[in-house]
This record gives sequence, C-alpha cells and structure tokens, in this order.
Amino acid sequence: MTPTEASARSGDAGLELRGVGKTYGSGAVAVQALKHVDLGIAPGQFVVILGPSGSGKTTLLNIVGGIEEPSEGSLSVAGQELASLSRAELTRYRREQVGFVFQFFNLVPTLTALENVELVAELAGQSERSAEALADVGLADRLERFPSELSGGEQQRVAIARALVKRPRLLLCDEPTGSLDLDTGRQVLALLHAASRGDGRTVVVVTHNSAIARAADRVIRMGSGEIVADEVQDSPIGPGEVVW
Amino acid sequence: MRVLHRKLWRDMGARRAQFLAVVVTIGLGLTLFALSYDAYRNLLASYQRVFDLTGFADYTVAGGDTKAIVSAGETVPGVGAAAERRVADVPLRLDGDKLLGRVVGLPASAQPPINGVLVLVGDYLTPGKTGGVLVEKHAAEHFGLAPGSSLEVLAADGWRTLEMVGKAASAEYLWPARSRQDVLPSADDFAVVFASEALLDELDPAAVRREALFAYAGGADRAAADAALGRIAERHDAVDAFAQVDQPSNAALSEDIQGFGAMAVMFPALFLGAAGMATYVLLTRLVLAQRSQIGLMLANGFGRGTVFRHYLGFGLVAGLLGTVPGLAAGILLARSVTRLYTDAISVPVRVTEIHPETIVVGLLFGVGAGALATLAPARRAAKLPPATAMRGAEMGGRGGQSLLERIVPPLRRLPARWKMVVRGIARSRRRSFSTALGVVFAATLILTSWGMIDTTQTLLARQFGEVQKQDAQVYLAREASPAVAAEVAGVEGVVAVEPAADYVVGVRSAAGSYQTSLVAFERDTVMHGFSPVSGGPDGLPAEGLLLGAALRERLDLAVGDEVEVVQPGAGITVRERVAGFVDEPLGTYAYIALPRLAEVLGRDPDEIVNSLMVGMDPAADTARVRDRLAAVPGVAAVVDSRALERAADDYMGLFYAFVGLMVALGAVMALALIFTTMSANISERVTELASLRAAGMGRRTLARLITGENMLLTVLGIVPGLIVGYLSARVFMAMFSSDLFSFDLAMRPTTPVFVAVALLVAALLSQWPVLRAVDRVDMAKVVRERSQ
Repeated sequence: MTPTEASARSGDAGLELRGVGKTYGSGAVAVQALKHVDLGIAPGQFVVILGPSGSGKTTLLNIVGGIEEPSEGSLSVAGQELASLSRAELTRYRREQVGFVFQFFNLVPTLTALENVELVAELAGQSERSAEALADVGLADRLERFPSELSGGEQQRVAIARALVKRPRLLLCDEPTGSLDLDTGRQVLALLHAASRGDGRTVVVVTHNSAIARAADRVIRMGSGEIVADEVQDSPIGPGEVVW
Repeated sequence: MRVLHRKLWRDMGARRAQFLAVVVTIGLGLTLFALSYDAYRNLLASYQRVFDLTGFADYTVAGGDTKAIVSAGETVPGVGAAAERRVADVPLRLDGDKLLGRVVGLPASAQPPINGVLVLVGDYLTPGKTGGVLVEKHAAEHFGLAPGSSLEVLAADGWRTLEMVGKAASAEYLWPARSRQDVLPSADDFAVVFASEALLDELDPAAVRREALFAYAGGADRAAADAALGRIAERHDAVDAFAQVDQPSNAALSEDIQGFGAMAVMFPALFLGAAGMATYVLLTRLVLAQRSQIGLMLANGFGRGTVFRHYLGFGLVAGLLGTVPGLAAGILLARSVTRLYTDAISVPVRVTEIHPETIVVGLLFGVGAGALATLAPARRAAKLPPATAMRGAEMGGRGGQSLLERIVPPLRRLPARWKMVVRGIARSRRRSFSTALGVVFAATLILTSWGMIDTTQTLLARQFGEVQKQDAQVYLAREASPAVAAEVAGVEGVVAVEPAADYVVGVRSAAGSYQTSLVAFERDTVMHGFSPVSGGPDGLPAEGLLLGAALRERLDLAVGDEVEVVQPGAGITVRERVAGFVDEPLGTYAYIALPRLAEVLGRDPDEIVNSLMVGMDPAADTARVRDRLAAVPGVAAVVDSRALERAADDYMGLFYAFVGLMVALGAVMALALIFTTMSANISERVTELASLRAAGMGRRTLARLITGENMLLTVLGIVPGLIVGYLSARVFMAMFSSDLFSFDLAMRPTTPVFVAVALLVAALLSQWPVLRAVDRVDMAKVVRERSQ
C-alpha cells in the first residue's frame, strides 16, 4: 500500500495527535501557539505543513519530535504515548525514532562531514553506516570535508545523512530548503522524498514555501495554531519539478 | 537615561553570573592590592616612626678603636651626630631560667641622641642607680616582668641582681634578633636589657664590645656616608660595620617587608590579569552575539565611536563596580592586617594611614584592567561592516585536525564525540588561550604561595633536623671547670654531651669584614650536620674553616683563600684557610674543628670550650631537663633548640595565614575565570548542543563531553602554570634569601600535584552552573534559531 492509498486519518496511523495544544507563558502574556490539534499521519507519508510565521507549524513539529511537551492533549507514535515517557525515555525516542533536519543545518564545525554523521550514528550504534549515509546523499567524495569547506546545499545534505543514518521512523524537517537556492533546494527535496518513498519512512516537512507542497502526499495548512486545511494529493509532482 | 545606557545595563543583567564573576575577580584583586599595599606602607611608616622617635643609628661600627672611629666619622659629610657606647653579651637569669642576654649601655642621665629607647612602662634610668635596668619589650612581656621585678646578670664576679625600672622598646630590637646569624631567637633564650653605662663596668670585659654610632643629617648622601664610614671602620680595625639597612633586626624586618611589598604588587597583578582575561572573553562573546544589533546600530546612523564607547562601557563599568568596593574593603582590611602584624611582632607604634596613591593606583589599575580587556572587542564591534554584521553570528570556528591529533595520531581514531572535545580547544583560539592563561595565573598564584610555605617548612625542618642536631646548647660561665661537662652529662634526660666553642668574631678578607659566630665542634661531632656546597669537604675538616655560603660573594672568597678571624675581646686573632662552604638555611656561620682552634690559638682545648651541645632523651620532658641543666653550677645559659624551632614556627604563623589566604583567593580566581570562559564557550555553541540533544544525545553524555573539553583546557593551562608557578616561587624565595636566611626553593614533590588537583576541582566546580545552563537549554527554541 502506498501512502497516498492509506487513509490519512486512519486509526492505525503511525503518528496520532489528540487535542494537542501548546501555550507559552501564562496569564496576560500567555500565547496559545497550538489549539486543540487532532491529527493522524500514516507511516510512509510525505507530509508538508504549510503556514505563515506564528501559525504553530514548528511547535507542532517540535512536539512530534519530543523536544517540546504539549500543554494539553496526547500524542502517540506507533502506538506509544509520548506523555508517559520519562526524560531519559524521550531522549531514547529521539535517538532511535526521530531524525531532525534544520534550516541552518546545525553541524558541528570542528567535525568533518563523516564525523558529523558518525556523531549521531554512534549514539544509535550505527557508526559503520556513516559513509554509506553520506554516499546516499551524494557526498561520497566529501567525507573528510569540514562544514566550512562545504556549500550550503552540501551542508544540508550532511544534515540529512546525519538524520537518516540511524534509520529513524520519523524524519522531521524544519524549513530544510529555507537557506538554499532553487537547484540545491530541489536536490534536498529529492533526498527527503526518497527517504519517504524508498524506506517507507514518515517525512514531515514544515515550511512557508507553498511550492514545496506540490511534491507532498499530503498538505496540512495551519493558521493561528490550528489546522485550517488538510489535503491529500493523489498525484504529487516530482521534486525536480518544483519551482519557487 | 540614554537608551544605549539602558541597553548596556540590560546586557549586563542578561549575563549577570558571568558579569558578577568578572566584577568579583577585579574586586578581589583590588582588595588584595589595597590590603597588602596599604599594610605594607603602614608597616614601613610604623617602623620609621620608631626609628625617628629613638634616633635609630644610620651606621654602626663594632670593635676597633671606636674613639678614633667616632672622631673620624664626625667629619664625614652628611654625618649629623656620632656617639660611642658599650654592649655586652652576658647570661641573664630570669624567673629561674638562664638565657643569653645582652646589656646595652645607655647614659643614665638622659636618652642618648642615637639609639635611644621608648619607655613604654615605668621610668628611664636614674644616675647612680646602677642596678636599675630597662627590660626590652619582648622579654618583659614573655616573662611577665613589670617595674620592680628582679632579674640577674652574670657579672665579672658572679650573678648580680638587677631591678627592672621600666619596659622599653628599641628600633634595634623591633625584631628581637640576637645577631644576623640568629634572627629567629626564642624569647625563652634571649633577652635584652638597657642599663646605665656604669653597669657595663661590672661585667666581664671579654663580653663587652664597644660600638661607634652615627646618625645622618637630613638630606645626607647616605650611600656616600656609608662608604666613607666603612672605610674609616676598616682603617681602625673594626670587627663589624653595617648601615641601618643591615642592622640585624632591621635586616630581618626588611627581608620580610620587601617580600610583602613584592606580593602587594605581583599577586594583585595576577588577579587583574585574570579579570582582564575574563572580561575580554565575556565581551568578545557579547560582540559576537550582538553582531546583528551592531549592524543595525551602524546602519541606522550610530557613529563607530558611539558603538566603540558603548562596548567599552562594559569593561569600564565592570572595572568600577569591582574596584570601588574592592578598594574600600582592602583599605579597611589593611588596618586589621597592620594591627595583626604589629601585634605579632610587638611593634610599639602603629601607624595606620589612608594612602591616596593606593586609591589612585587602584582605580587606574582596576578600571584600566576592565577597559583594556574590552578595548579589542569594542574596536572589533565598531569596525564591523553593517551589512555583514546584520547577517548575524558567523559559524563558530573552522574545521581542522587538532594539534593533539597531529601529535598523537591514534587520537584520530577516537569516536566522533571525543574528537569534538579535542578539537573544541582550537575552535576559539583566543578564548582557549585566555582560559589557559587564566589557569596559568591561578596556578602561579597558588604554587608560588604554597611553594613559599613548603620552603619555609622544609628549611626549618632541615635547620633543626639536619644542621642543628643538638637539643640544647649550654653556655658555660667563664669560671666553669671542665668538670661541668661531666655534670651536664649526668643530668637526668641528657643522653649526649659534646664540648663546643662559640665566639662572636669578625671574618675579614681583602673584600671586607663580616661579623658572625665562630663555632668549634669536635671533628666527629654528631651535634651538627655540614652540607657542603659544590664539592667541599663532607664534614668538619681537620684544618681550615667552613664558612656559610653567603660569604663566598660577600667577602669574595674561594676555597683555599686565607681569611682573618678576629675577636679582640676573647683575644682571638687567627689566619686560617677556607676549607669549604656550607649551605645552611638560617644564618651564616664560620665553623672550625675544636682541636684546630686550640692549636692556632696555642691553648688547651679545655680552655677554649665555652659551651656544650646536649642531646636529650626523646622521651624526656625538655622543659624539666632544661631547668635541671640551668641549675648546674657553672652553666650560664641554656638555649633549647626545640623551643627555637617552635618559636620559628610561631613567627611564621602570620606568614602562613597570609599565604593561605593567597591560596584560597587563587582558587576563587580560577573558579571565576573558568566559569566565565566556560559559560562563553557554551553560550556560543548552544544551538549545536541543542541539536545534539534533539538528535538523542543524553544529558549525561553531553555533560561529559563539555566537561571533558573544559578539563582538557584546564590541563593545558595547568602544565605551563605549574612551570611558571615554580619559577615564580623561586624568584620570590630568592627575594627573601640573604646571609640571614638561605631560602632556596624547596618545594615538596606533592605540592604541584595538589595544586593541579585543586585547580581541576575548581574547574569541575565551575562546570556546575554551566552544565545547569546546558540542561535548561530550550531545544525547541534554539534549534530553529541561529546561535545567539
């Protein structure tokens, strides 16, 4: 079954949010970033969450990634309730099931591309896969380069390899093409797409770039902390066709 | 308040812990400076006041034709007054104890113009009342004497009773040094009384020496006058001649106070250096974090000068906030330190003043340290091109293998996370250098201080364990028969007795004269250890003299040279070859074999023996043995070596306290500096660390990595720090070294280890708030922003 064939709102979704809300601060300065969000994402889907700044999309991503706790509601990944996890268990959850890709790459500048990937691979006991992960993202000839010796696109590919090397169930990407030009952005998008298609991994991309949405299996639009639209695309375009 | 000022205060508030650490370090430096410098100046002023009140001699000549010396000396330009007096070293009996005494002759009718006394209790001498004496402050207080108390002096015809008429202080005995060889006497063993010149007539003439005293007129060329009087002294066969600065008490105090003065400058300088490093690190980090703000300011028309002054203000404010309370605390504490110090050594006059130069210099240094440290980052901020600056912070550090990996290739196979640790050092070289330099400062401060304690303790242990091995030295009365030795040997608790001769002599060479003690032992003595210097004889030679190493330079001597040993009072004038030099921590003595001394004097050894070296049963009650020894007829005085050792330890108490304070402050300095630099290190990498946490790196793993990097940096500072600290301790001890003390650095091998461990502990403690900050990092917030 392909993701597009799966019911986006199915009860056996790999990822399920029930009434999730997030409020920052309290009293007069309280800001409600997420308002009672219900959402299910099936395994293997390539999902794009669209929305303007402040719409709550990154907060949603962070909650799914286990680096932020919801103020209300519950969240389960593959049937596991995140609310019931201790801090150490949450760390293990991130280590084993989640891969993050950030807009600004967040590589360690003193480590080579290979070492940056190894750093995370070692955590998951997968260090032997580091070179292969970099080869998968087309950087087989850049293993010993330091971040300062790589272009922005190459750095983002290292970041993707770093996220994928531990074979996470979820790949969460926050504006992964935000700092890249069109061509490089397409290459990165292709990698994320492949991660979803090839390995049946759930990929969630948060962006305000609506052009990217055309390549997604499912597009969720957010505004003011709420899901304002949720659309399944039966015929997404290939990443190479995306234009912005 | 201008908005920029408000921003400055808020920037400080946002980094209050680091800012406070900088302020505290500056404050501590200034406290230390004001405390030690003001106390130093107060002590100098207190001593000087006593010198002025008593007319302390500017130049003293002992022995020779003193009348002729006085006559000739009076014609020397700059000499304002000259006088003659007599001084006798004779045993005293106080409260049943027999001890070494000194009777200083004074005119009974009025205070002398030179080397007078301050009568603290009771009255001055009365003409015609020969037995009325003034007892020097230290002895009077130690033995609890008051006007009316009795004491005895060994006169030419036996013990003579004296009456104390007053308690007096003298510039010559501010520090109760018996001689330059005996600057750490025990109050149990040595006492000074000031008596009418008439009393000196009753004493053993051999024990009496004449002295010529000179006081200079205001504006005199002291160096020229010293030199002229030295030449006169030599021409008239003086045994010893010394300027005020070399007078035993003054020399001992000067040694001490010069060290104090050096510490008053060097140690605070280390603190200010460390504070400067911390300020530099903090502001560099601030400028980096505020690049976009700086760009915005410049783009909006703020002048570069305004931006420069804004960031310079950070250092100025830190300097001021640290300096003002630091100086105030230091000035207040200086009064207490002056009081403690003057009480500890019984200085009769205490001068406590506020020295405006302390405040001016303190302000300049404190605020200057803050401003200087911020100069470079403030300039960097002002020079930033606005467009570049507005792009925000640049990626922190460039890649590359670390030096360690290049030197130790196996390190290249370390797991990636440990490579991150190793390479983190080179990531911000300036900051790493600052941290390491701060650790070097702290190590220097602590090791220098600790090294001084070690050296003092080691050398005292050596002096009383390996050099002076006797438990007591018994001085014999002139009329004592050789049978006294047998009686002393029979005293309960005495296990060994050796005859010895101990004379105050002048040792002369072509280069000059030096007054010291000539001590003669049996050749196979077990009461004294001789440590030869550079290949000299191991033990007392059959012929020739062993001289304290300081005389090599002082009298320009080498092994084989001939010197003249003169003691007019005892009729000793011999020429003898220098057989070798000995290295002894305290004093500079001359040694000779007893048979050889008898031979060159042409006398029977029994005739020249004037003291006995005594070994006691370790289980014996030394105080009781001492009493029994004193009760033996023919025993004039007993000097208890163990009491001497205890006294030396007591004298060191204040020194230990001061140095201990330095060690503690050094640790605080290390803590503050490491905390500041580590905090900057972490805040620069917060995004990176948050990303690792997001990727599933546990808190403990992350804490281990951060701690590992910081510890590595600390170790990099500790290694040179220990080397610099060792060298600095050597320099410091050399400052204290002279013919009075031979303070070659003697650091225990464990001390650098303890210092290294202490610094590592300080670094570990400083991790705690840093790791807490890492723990509190809001991953969600940080990972979606550039490092701020």
